[in-house]
Amino acid sequence: MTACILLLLLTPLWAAKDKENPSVFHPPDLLLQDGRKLTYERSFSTEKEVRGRPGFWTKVLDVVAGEPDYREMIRPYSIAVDSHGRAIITDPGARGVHIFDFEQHKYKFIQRAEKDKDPMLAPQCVAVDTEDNFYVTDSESGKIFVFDASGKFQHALGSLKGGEGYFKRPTGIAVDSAAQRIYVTDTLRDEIFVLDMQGQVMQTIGKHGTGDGEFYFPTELRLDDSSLMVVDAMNFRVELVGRDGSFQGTIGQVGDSVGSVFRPKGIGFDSEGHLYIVDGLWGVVQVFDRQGQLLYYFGGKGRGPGEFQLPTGLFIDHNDRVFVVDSFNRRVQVFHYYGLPKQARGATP
Amino acid sequence: MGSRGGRWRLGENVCRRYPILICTFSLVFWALPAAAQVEFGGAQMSASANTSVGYDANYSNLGGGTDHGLGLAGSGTLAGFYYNPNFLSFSVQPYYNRGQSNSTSGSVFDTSGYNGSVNIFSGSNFPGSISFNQIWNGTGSYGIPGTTGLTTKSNNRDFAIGWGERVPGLPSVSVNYSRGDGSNSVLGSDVGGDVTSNSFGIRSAYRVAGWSLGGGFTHANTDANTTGALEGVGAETSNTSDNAFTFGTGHTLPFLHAGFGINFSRADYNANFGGETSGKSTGTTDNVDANLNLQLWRFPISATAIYMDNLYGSFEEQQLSSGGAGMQTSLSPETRELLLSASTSYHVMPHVVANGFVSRQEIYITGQSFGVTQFGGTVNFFLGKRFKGLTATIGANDSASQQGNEGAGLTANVNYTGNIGRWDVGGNFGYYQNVETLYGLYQTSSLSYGGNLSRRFANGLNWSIAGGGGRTAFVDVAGSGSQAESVSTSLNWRGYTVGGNFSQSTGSSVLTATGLVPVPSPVVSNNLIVYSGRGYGFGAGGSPIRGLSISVSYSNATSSTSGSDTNGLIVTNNNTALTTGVLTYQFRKLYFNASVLQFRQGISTSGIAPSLVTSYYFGVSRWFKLF
Repeated sequence: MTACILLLLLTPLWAAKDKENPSVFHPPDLLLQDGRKLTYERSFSTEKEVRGRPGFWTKVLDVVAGEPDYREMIRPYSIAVDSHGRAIITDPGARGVHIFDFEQHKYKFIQRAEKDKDPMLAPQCVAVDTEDNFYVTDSESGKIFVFDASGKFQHALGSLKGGEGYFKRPTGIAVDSAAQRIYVTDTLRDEIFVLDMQGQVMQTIGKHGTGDGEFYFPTELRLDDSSLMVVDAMNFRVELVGRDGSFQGTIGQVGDSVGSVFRPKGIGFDSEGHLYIVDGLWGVVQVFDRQGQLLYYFGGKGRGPGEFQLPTGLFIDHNDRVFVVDSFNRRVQVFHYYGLPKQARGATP
Repeated sequence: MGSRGGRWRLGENVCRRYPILICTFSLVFWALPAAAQVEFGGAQMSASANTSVGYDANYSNLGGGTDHGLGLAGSGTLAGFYYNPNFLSFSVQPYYNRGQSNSTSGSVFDTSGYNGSVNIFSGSNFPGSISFNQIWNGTGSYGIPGTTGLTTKSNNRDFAIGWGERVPGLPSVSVNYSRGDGSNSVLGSDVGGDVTSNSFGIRSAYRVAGWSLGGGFTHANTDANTTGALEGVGAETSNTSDNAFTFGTGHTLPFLHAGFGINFSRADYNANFGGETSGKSTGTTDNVDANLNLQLWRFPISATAIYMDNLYGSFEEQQLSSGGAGMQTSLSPETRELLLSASTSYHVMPHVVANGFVSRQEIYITGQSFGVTQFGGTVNFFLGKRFKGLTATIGANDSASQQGNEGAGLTANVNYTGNIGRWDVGGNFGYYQNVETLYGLYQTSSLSYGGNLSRRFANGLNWSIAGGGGRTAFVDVAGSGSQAESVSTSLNWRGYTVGGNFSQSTGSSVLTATGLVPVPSPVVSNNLIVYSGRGYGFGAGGSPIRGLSISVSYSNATSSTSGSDTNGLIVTNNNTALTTGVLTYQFRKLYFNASVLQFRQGISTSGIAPSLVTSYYFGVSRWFKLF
């Protein structure tokens, strides 16, 4: 009888070896013009995926005491990737910020909703500066929270005396480290605030309206070498303005066909300067050139790999890896865009 | 070799002594790698379970005596669907030996049972459902209004099945049947009660040519043996059967945004009861009501006509269906009522609304006819800007019968919700004088009040307090009043909580199988039990380190009831005290538990010693996902 009991006790340790890495369906590569392509890499959603391969004693502990309660994304919204490849994801549903470090196999969750001073209630968008400090807008408290590279809270910008926030609903954010400027959209004011690094307002850009240089509920922001790209949500377009606020142009128009913009969410640009616009309602990412010409799109509504349900944020790192926040599916999906080498550019895909 | 042989012998001894324990653990460990949803013959299922092993020591005078030893406990969940969740889905949750000592269950005893439900064709036009549950050794409450009641040990079993048809364009149909039976014994006494009930209902609705039509039939019968724990009226038995038919129709009118509706219902009941007051009750109640709504210029007008041919019957039916015994009331033997009323309102100013009403009641009772005319009005103030969150209503009314004017009445109601400085404040106050008549016979005055206050201080300290109360009495009927008050407060600081509460109540009631049910004393003149209850409790809890939680609580409820039987007035004094302390440490899916529980309940007229339970427990439980 004792031998039978020992056999029963040891069975799970042997059986646990056989369930590693079930095969996962990957969507086919998207082959584009001139050898360009977009490939699906993977998705991640929980702290567990960051952790490295467990050792023997970790497996024993997992069997005896169960796995730890790994934290999961609840309603992720925006993403930024720092110079070390760490993905920083805001999650208003969890009232916090997830930091996934796949290289170091580390995970961190930042939450300060219960703090008496400057609580972070609804983290919305995130941006990273050159020193890997990251900046998080809080649409509910009306402030911007600044954290250092280790995730330690530094200070809050826009925090008024009495605890109120200066901004009505800050959403999109971009940081220009070279110029020591922070750009923040205040969606309810239909303006972009230009701040110095201490939070002093240096300039405002735009006003309410539908014309050139005007905004109607602006949300996400991205900076490239020449332009500030603003998602002008209720004008169904992305507006390009200079850093001095001068109007440069628009991309996208309202419609119900491919190439039009219906619910613009996150934006980004790759190494060839193509503009990626997430459309939340259609569940696709559309890619335009700087003239506003649709090049291609990928995604579609669904729960499978490469499909989206209410996608929101988007970030493209310096390796042209495209991170798309798949909000309703509670995950981030990663694609890789292989463009032309710099010397071969000139043709459109 | 010697020591090795000793270990083997030790293992064999353990196996012989605790075979169930070892096998359970082995099966749990064996099941772990299979943690994924499984598919079996087209059915997809997932299951999880929580098993615990612990040592407990009990000191009790409830029959089990003093004992101690290792014990197993657990609970599980099996849920899934066949083909598609909209085709057939199911869920079953069994549990074994679950109590306050080893789980979050509030049971004083080790309770076992199961809950289950099945949904069939839920995504179609013909949805159906089945639910069932059974509880052994559950902890229940024998209700005493305004307090936590007396603790009971109970067994219950319930079953319900329902089916519907909702094809567009056809009359909808829904059919349901339910059966429940249970028994309980009031701790601290040697008596108990049991109730068995069955109910069947069918209902249909249809819209045709602008007419909305609806009708239905319900049948219910209840067999109750009422506990004699509160010996003021002794034990009672009752067998009650009810049948009710309803039919209604309505239509909009092509003018003045008008619409009308007419509803008819007939209910008949048949009850046999024995014990202190044995006898038989039968009756039929017809009820017709018609309503008309229209918009006349800026005045929305609502008019209603209600006719009921047997007020006594409807009142007695309510009491009997809840397990109460037969009664003598001032409404017997026959009471008819016709009520005509009309009301309107007008926006005097943006934040001021005036309401007016007039009603006429014709009542036939004890061979005589009475007529009462009431009219009155109220003014609602929504004080928006300067006093944000404050609303007030002030009104007056007057009643007159053939005996002359019965006097004026007043109504006042004030509500506030908002912030004063850093305080979150809410409050309400209501005063009603001579406004409500019971079947046109009695006027009521009542007072209600309540409030809450909370504040978040520095360093995460939160404090809140809430309280309220009310008094109701029939005008000019001595001893008819009832009142209740309660207050509770809590203090929170960084995961630590301290709180307390106090409540008290007095009034009159009748005895049923599940507790005392408040009734207006002028209407019921026999079998009345006057109750008064007072309870208080306090507790504290906290989590000093991650994964560790500690909580202690104490509650004490004292109640007294007085009623009369053939031996005269009997007064019963009851007391229930419960002390609990629970410590839990969570490490991943393992929970280390330690607890202490002390329970005491005594009933002065029962003739037996108070029930005492003291238990100590420590053990470990493991949650796991089976598949």
